[in-house]
Amino acid sequence: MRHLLRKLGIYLLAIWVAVTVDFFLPRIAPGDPAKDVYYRLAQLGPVSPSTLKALQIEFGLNTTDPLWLQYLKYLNNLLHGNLGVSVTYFPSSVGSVIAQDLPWTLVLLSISVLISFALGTLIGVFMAWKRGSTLDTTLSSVMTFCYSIFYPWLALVIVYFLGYKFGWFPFSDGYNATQTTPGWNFAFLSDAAYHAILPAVSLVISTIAGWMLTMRNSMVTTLSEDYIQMARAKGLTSRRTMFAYAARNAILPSVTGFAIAIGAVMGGQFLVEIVFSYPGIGYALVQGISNHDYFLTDGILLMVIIATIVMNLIVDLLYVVLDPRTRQVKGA
Amino acid sequence: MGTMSNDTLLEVKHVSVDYGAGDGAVHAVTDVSFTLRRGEILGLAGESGSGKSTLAYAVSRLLRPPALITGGQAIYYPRERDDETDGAASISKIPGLSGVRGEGPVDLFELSEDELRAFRWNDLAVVFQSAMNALNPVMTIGAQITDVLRTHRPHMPAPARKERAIELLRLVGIAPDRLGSYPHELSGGMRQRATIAIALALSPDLIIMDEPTTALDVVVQREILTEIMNLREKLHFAVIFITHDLSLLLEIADKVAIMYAGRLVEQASHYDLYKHARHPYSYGLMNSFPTLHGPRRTGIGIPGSPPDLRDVPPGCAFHPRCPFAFEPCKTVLPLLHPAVPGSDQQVACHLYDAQYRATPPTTEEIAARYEAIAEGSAVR
Repeated sequence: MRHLLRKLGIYLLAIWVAVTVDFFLPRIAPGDPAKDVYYRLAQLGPVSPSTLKALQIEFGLNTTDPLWLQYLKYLNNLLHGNLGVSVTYFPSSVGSVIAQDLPWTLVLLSISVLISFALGTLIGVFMAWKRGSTLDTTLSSVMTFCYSIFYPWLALVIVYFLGYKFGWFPFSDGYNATQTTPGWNFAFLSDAAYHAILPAVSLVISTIAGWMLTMRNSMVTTLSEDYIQMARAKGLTSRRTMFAYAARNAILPSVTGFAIAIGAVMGGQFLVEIVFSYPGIGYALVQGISNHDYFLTDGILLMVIIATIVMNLIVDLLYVVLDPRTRQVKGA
Repeated sequence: MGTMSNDTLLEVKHVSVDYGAGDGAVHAVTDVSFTLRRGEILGLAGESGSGKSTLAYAVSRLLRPPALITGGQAIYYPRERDDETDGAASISKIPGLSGVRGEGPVDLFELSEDELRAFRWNDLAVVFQSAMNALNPVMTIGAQITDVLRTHRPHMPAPARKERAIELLRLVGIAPDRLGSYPHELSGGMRQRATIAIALALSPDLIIMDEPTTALDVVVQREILTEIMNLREKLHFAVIFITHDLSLLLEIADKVAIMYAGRLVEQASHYDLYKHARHPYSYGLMNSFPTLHGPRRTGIGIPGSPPDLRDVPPGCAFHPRCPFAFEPCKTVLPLLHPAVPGSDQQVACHLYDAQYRATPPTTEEIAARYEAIAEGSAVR
């Protein structure tokens, strides 16, 4: 329990550091969001200088407060869940933009990552078990190839052939807005799943090799352990030896790797959403950056950071379940 | 050799094991034969790389590529069905016919994959050198006992399996509440006790113990040895005990076989070996440990180091290190034969072959020769 509390403390500290960096970083960058919006409005029709002033007030840019006071106000707002108003999607609040986009990202990401991890790990187990066989050597080289593919290229190839050329799958948007309405109905859900296939496939192809090779190598090491020899000597079935003894131990490094990879996968997700014009927060983030939308980028980065930290926490907890050695010794 | 009497348990005949093939093949075990009787403790001793572990793993069919059994037989004599009632007196009977029991002698090297699985643990269990590494770190001790029962006694209900696990832990002196403990929560000695408990799960007739006490401190080592002796007393299993510590074998083994460069060089009862080790190598191995009691004497050692098994010296493999080496040792391979006519003590050494040497050396003579070497090196 103390172990857990300490972990929680560390994660809270990490969130605080992230929030702080998140606050200062955009403010160092050049540009002024109020002017951005003002000029955009100016292109649509005549605007008075007072509009600029109004925008500055709206965005909280008219302040004469010193930076540290702004920072404290920012923290206070965060605690109350107030992420500000989006410049890009003015006048929507950042909170509502994220609430709308986050589910798309989360669903696509978690499903493809889980498929990739489960499938990759399972194949890795078999490769190591049949080490040196044709299966192992062929897959090893194929996977090393997959591992080194440049993701944007892979995504574009998939978009071009499977989406554009053959027209088997849609390659933009999260659903067909003309035929379905978002909600818990079958038509929408199946359409959304259909739209998610290409981005998910591209994600799985680009990440599966890593899990597979990690598991294979870890498994090969584990197979030379004495307890595997003992499991064989015990006359256990090879399935039991393979899973309960070998894979069960070999998966531990993969789980750690999983925690480390989450951040990178999140980053990669943005690329996926851009290539596939997918309506997730990655897409929104890119819009936010190009529009000097402090509030939106702040909010999204914060979400990504919190999501990464929460995932890490889950993996930590999972690790405690998986490896009894990390549990606190009871009373001894 | 070849005694077909009723109490023979295992007959190993001319077993050879190579690592790899072709010119680079390492001949880890060459033409080894021995017989093990029921309830007997056979000590297998030798330096690292002498092939003792390889031999034992060959018998248990646990060798993995590139190791390859290139010849020989390991004939196992299963217990008669009628015998099931006696023997294991202080441990409850475990229902169900097991392994290859009651079907006449079998050659372990001929067993199919399925027969082998049935044979394993039912008839032959293994206690590995390091209990820390031999126990699955993510499974409780109890689960590691019951999974043997679940595999080999599929009809045994779960409560009975648990009962059995508790009984086994008690038997080796572990409190039953340790059933739910993970290996890392136990001390080294307790872990080794737990592996012994696992080994006893199906009341095997033969247990191979690969340096079971090497990783433990001397006090715990003593406890474990006493435990093994007591259990053998109660349960009458036979043991092949592998170690490089010959003085330990002299204490617990009924019979000791000494290996050098993949071959048996001497085989004798512990008493004979203690009184008069015949082979110069055996003598050197036995006396290279200082004694705590007894007279002060010059510490001796065997000069040189074990040969490269890819390129074993011709004749007797030990001749480059042997203080007694003479002409025939360099060319003629010595075979096991009685050290003195009519003796059980067998030795593979030309010193005891009337053809080459009229009177075999006495133990004092061997001792004197070794001491001379030791003094010589001390002066240098």
